[in-house]
Amino acid sequence: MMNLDSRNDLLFKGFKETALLVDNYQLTAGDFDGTKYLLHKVSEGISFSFSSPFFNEVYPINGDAMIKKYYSDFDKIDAPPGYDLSLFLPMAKLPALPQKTKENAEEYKRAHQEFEARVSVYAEEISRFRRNFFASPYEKVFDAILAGKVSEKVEYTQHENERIWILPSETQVTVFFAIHFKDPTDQSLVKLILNELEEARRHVNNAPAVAKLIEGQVPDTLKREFPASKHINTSYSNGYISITIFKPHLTPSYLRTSTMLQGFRQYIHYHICASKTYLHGRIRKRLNNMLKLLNEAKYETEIKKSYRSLKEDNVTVVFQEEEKIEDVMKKRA
Amino acid sequence: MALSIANYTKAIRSTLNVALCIREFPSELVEKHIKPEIEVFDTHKDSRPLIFQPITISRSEKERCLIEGSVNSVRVSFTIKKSDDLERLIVGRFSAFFGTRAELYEIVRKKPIEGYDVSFLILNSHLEKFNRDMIIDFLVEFIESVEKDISEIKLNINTQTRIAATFFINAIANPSANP
Repeated sequence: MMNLDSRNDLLFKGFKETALLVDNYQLTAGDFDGTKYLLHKVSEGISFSFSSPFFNEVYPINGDAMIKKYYSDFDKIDAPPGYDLSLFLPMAKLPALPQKTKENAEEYKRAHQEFEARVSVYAEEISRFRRNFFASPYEKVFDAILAGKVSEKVEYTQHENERIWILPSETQVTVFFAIHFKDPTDQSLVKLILNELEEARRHVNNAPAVAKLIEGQVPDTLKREFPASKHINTSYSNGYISITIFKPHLTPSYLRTSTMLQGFRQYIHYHICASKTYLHGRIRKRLNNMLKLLNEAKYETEIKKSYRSLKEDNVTVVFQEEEKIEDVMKKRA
Repeated sequence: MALSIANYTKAIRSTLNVALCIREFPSELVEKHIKPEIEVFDTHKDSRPLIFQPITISRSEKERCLIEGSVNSVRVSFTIKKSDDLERLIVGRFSAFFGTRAELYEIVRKKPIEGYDVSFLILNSHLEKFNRDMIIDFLVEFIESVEKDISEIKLNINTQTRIAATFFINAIANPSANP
């Protein structure tokens, strides 16, 4: 629910199904932050292509290491036009599937299950590609901190009209987010959650330092460390927020932290939609109550009277209005 | 200084009691038409003799009620107290929802008067369908409960936001072994 799974279900199912199909099956899909995917099955294997509007900003930071870490079984191939990166899984990496005949039904079932298990592992990793891709800058910094080294500071864009700055040091890393939402309703709701993020320090043990910076002004730290940011002329609707993470926060595993950080905007957006849904539901409920109240104020309308007839075996007869004189005269004429 | 709500509603109730003495009155401008004179007055000032003096009842600077009466129609407009951004958002949504459902309610005006959040237009034909005292009860209950409802919604949204923020910070601060 709040812990949104970073897996793309469409890719997961698609990958599992394409592995069993024959040739030339294509699946295109889109995802958050303007990313696009393409799954293409040929007889030699399955190729997965990825495209993002900010690929060239993010990939040079830690892209190669990310591929080595998560996609070591895949080969890197040339990307088709319109896409930025392609990975290829040759069929040789998957266990062989014997022909299904009457004799080896048991063996076939076992081999099929093994095949499915292997395919699921790859499918899982492919469906998390977006998460791995956008979390790669964070993971690079976290690896460096755990090893006691200092990695270089970076800035990039993950979502249109927004920007992220990462400022690492030996024992901590400060991440600056510039948040922007178009809709004024969204903007007022985001203000609330950013305030609450700042105040959540009091309720949580070990909290990382969260500072909400003045809107409309580039924070001083940014101006100092990233000289290019002095000349920002796009204004971010909700200002800047910085999260400082210390070394103890990274053990035992930093995977959840990096997943949360790369999904920061998505998390806020999800929360805004949930709040708006709740708001509309409450308002609708109240309006319905008011309508019921108003309808009680109406006078009663006359209902058609009915009576039981004594003539025809106690049958209920609806009271008929007398025929109008005009109609009777018309009938006679 | 804000008066207590009981005095506010008492004043509104007695004013409405007087203002809602309306009867059928065919239009003096167009033959065979019946128009609500209070709406006609906005564009044609000829119906000035038919309009009564508009009355504004204020509980505070931000909470007002404007009652404009005429011979065959009454217009009642309310502002609801909005003290911060979130309340402005909630009241804005509420006002928009009310406007789109105006046909369902019959007495609601599709667009509120400028400067107000909600407007009701009551005609003499409505009074033939609805019980007069119960309409007044409805309007008064509307004002009394809307403030409470809005503060409830605001509290709920703030609580939800706090839970969401705490969850996020917690996930970063206390990472577990499984992602």
